[in-house]
Amino acid sequence: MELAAILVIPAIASGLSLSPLGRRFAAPITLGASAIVLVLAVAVAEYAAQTGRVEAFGQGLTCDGLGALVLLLVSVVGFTAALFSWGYIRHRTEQGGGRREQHYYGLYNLFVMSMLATPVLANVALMWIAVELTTLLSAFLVGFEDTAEALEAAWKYVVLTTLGAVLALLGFLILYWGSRVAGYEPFTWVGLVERRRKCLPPCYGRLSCWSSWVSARRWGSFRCTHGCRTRIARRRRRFVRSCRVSRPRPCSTSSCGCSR
Amino acid sequence: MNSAPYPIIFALDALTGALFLLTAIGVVGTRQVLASLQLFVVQSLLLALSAVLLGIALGSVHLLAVAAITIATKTLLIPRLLRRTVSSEVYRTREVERVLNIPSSLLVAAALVVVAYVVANPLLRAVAVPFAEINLPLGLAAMFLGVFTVAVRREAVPQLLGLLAIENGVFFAGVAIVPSLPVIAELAAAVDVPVITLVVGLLTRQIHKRLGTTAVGHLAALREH
Repeated sequence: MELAAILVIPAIASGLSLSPLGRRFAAPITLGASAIVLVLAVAVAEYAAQTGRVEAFGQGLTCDGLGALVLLLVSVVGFTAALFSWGYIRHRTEQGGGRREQHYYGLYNLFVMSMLATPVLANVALMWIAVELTTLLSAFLVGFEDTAEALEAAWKYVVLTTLGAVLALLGFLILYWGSRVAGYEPFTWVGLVERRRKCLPPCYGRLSCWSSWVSARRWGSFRCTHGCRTRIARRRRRFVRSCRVSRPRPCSTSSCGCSR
Repeated sequence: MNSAPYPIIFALDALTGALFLLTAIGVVGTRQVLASLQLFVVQSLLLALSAVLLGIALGSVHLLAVAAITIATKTLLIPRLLRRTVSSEVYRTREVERVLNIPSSLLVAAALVVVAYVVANPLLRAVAVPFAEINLPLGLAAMFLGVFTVAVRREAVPQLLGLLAIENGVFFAGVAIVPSLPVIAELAAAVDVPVITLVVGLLTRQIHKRLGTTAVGHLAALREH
C-alpha cells in the first residue's frame, strides 16, 4: 500500500499546487508531500530489506533491494530539492508573479512522481514510459529561467534524452522478443529474473557479455552475480573465454572465481 | 525464406519496406521543412500499411490497433500540433541549413543502410520470425537515418522530424519481431509521440520568441572547451 501512496501523493501535491490554493501554499505543500514520500520510502526500504521484495496491486508494483535503494535516493534528493526550491524559486519569480511559481511546483511534483515510478513499476514497458515521462516533464524545468542558455540547455537535454529513450525502446522490444522465445512470461522484471537461466539465443549471451565487459573495463573491476569484486586485469582472459558459452553458468565454474 | 504460407503479403511487405526506406532517405535529403514533414507523414502511412499486412498474415489484432494508432497520431495529429505550435516555421517555404551537403549526406545514408543489414544479420540468424528478415534491417536502417538527420540538421523542426523518424523505424522493426506487443505499449506510443511533439514544439516557440531564430544548431554557448 505504501508503494501506491508514494506515487499518489506527488500527483495530489501537483494538483494542489496548480489549484487556487497553490497560489500561496505551493511551496509548503510540495515540501510536505516530499517529506511524507521520504518517510514512506524509508519504510518500504526497511520492509524490502527484511523480506526481499515488497509488492502491491497484484504484483503491478514491486520493489526489491535495488529498487528500494533507487527509491530512497530519489526521495532524499526530491525532499532536499523541494527544501531548496522554497526560497530560490520565490526569489527567481518575483517579477513574474505567483503563476510561474505554481507552474514550477506543478511540474516539479509530476517529475518527482515519474522518477519514483521508475524503480517501482513491475512491467518493463510501463517503466519505459515512466523514464520517457521524466524527460518530458523536466524539459520545462530545465528551461525555467527562460534565458538563452537555459533554453539551449533545455533543447539539448530534450533531444539527447528523447533520442536515448527511443533507442531504449528498440532494446525493450528485442528483450521482449527474447523473453517470448525463451517461453512466455509476463514482461516484468520478476519474470525476466526467473527466466534468466532458460535458453537465450547465443547472440544475446554474447551481447550481454560484451556490454558487461565494456562496463567492467570502464570501472576497472568485474562484479559477479554474487557481488564479489575481482580485478579485471587478472580475470579478463578467463572472462572472455567464458563469453563463448552462451548460457550463464553457476558461479563456481565461471569467470568470477569466488568461493560460493 | 520462411514466408511460404503468404507469398503475396510477403512481396507487398517487401515493397512497403523499400518505400519506407526511401522516405527515410528522403527525410535526410530534402531541402525544405514542409517537404520533410510530408515525407514523414508518408513514412507513417507506410508503417501503418506494413502493420496491416503483418496483422492479416499473422492473424494479430494488436497489429491492426498499431496501424490505427499510427494513422491517428502520426498522420493526423502531429501535423496539426506542429501547425498550432510552430506554424511560421513549418509552413514557410525555405531551405534548411545543414552541416553536411546533400550528396555527402546521401553517401553516409547509404553506408548506414549497409551497417543496418550487418547489425541485423546475427539477430535474424538466431531466431527465425516470419517477416523479420524484411522489417528488422529496414527498421534499423530508418532508425540510423533518423539519428543521422538529428545530427546533420541545424533547424529545430527537422531535428524533431528526425526523432519521430527514429520512432517510426523502431516500430517498423517492432511490428515484425513482437507481433503480440502488449496493449500497454501501443497506448504508450499513442500518448508518447504527440507529447514529444507538443513539448518540443512549445520549446521551439519559446526559443523563437526569446532568440528570434530556430537554428538550434547555432546555439553553442554551453560547450565543453
